[in-house]
Amino acid sequence: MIDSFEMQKRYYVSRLERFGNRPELHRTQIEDCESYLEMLQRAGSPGRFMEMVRTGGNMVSSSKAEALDRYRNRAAVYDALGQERKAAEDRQRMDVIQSARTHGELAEKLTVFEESTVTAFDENKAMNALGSVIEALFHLCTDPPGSGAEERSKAKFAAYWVQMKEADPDVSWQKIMDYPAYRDRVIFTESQMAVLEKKFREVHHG
Amino acid sequence: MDSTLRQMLDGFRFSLENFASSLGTGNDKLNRARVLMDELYARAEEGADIAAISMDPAFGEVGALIGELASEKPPASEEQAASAGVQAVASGDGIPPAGVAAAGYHMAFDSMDGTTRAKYAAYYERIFGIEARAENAIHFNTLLEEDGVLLDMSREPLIEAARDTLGKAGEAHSPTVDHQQELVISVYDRVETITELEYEGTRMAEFSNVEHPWDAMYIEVIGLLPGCAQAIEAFGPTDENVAKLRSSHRFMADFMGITWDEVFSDPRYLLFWREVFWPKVPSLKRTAYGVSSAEGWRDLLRAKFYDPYVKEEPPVSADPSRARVRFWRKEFPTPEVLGMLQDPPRPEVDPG
Repeated sequence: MIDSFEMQKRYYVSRLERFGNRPELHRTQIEDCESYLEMLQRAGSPGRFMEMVRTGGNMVSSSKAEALDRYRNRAAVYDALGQERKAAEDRQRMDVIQSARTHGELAEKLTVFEESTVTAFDENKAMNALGSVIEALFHLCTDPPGSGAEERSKAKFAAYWVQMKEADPDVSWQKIMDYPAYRDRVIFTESQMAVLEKKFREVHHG
Repeated sequence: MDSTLRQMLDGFRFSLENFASSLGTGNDKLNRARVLMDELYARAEEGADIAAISMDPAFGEVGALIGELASEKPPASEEQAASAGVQAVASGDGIPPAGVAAAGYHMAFDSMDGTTRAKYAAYYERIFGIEARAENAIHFNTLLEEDGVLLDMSREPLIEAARDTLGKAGEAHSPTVDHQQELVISVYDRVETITELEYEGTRMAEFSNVEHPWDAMYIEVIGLLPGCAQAIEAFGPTDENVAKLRSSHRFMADFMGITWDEVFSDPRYLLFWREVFWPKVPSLKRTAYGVSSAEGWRDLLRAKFYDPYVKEEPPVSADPSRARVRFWRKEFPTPEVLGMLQDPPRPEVDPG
């Protein structure tokens, strides 16, 4: 016959051990586990503990902790990549999670948020259009003036520049140079980019 | 009634009785859900299977009511204390059997199609084995946590998919795809939690999502000169094709210090040329020109479709000081590109 009180404790200790190997990724879940271990001690029995869990939100804090760790970790990846809008969207997601009081509210609020947000989608759209913008400018440096090739490169530049503008109304040559999410996708050095900038000014008129 | 369906319905009923302990017996939603549960039990006893029960409107309504009950505030303290007492008497130590905690896994497994079920059968057998050994729900959850089967069920199919992609990616000879899949296999193998799995998955995919288009742009740029010669071979020495080639010949030397010779000594471009471009040259053309190797095609292009059109041009020369690219916020000589893509100097992530 198992000792359910010890078994319940073992459950949380086991989780804490795994989380402890990379505590930076599990910050909120570690706090959550520790709070339940304390609650278990206060309860004194697994039955009383389960009753306290039921009346205390049925472990919604654990669902929130898992989601908060997930999105905080992901925002850190986006921060490293300089993808500020995707990081900001995950931080908004964390605010939504924080505000939920029940499992139902958590699911409902996240659903509403996912259906309304476009920030990360737009950042991806702008980044994906950038490659074609830069390649069009590169080819325009060697396309014979008045040729069909030049016409095609100009059309390609215009189409993808519109896509970038739609996804990022603030986009400019300067932003391509300064914003890591854009700059890191472009192979050219600063001096090579200066050459392409001249072409950009010619086709973009400013 | 089959055992899986019974476990599922028992799980629902157990949830309802849990709410009874905190909400009391006078809660209308709870009472309505209990009535519906009795109806579902009756239909199951009459022979309705799990699919029929899942489609029953009463089943959906019970699910919605359980969701709503989770948000209900407990009644005044006296009633709560009284109902908690009733519950304690009714269920002894208040700990449900392992079957209640495992009901969701049975439901998930039974609802899988044959292919999915075969793929995940080993994991579910582990879970059901734990259920058989567990004395109650707490024991089950602890053994499940310690076993790590849920983590294995998430990561092992991902590792398998990465091995599969790596095998199929052989033809693409893409250093970024190869690096990503090799990394997935080694990193997923050592993660210890689902959170870590998700984090590492995002980190690897997002970095690869930058490197892959970077590499495509590099191939486009470094391959400009053979691309121009190839256009003349394919479409003839039109004024436009010849003008583009001459302009590119001058531009690449001026812009990046690169001439034909540097293109064909670039390890990244050579990988593309030998393994991706050359295999796609039609056999009719190979026969027509009497060429049987990637190097032969390179020499043909240069002798017939490049040099003759630039011989009147002012001489150009290589300049290694300008043959550089920017990768992950630093500048590197172009001959190092292949090595960098195989072991990219990625920025650090700080989740702390």
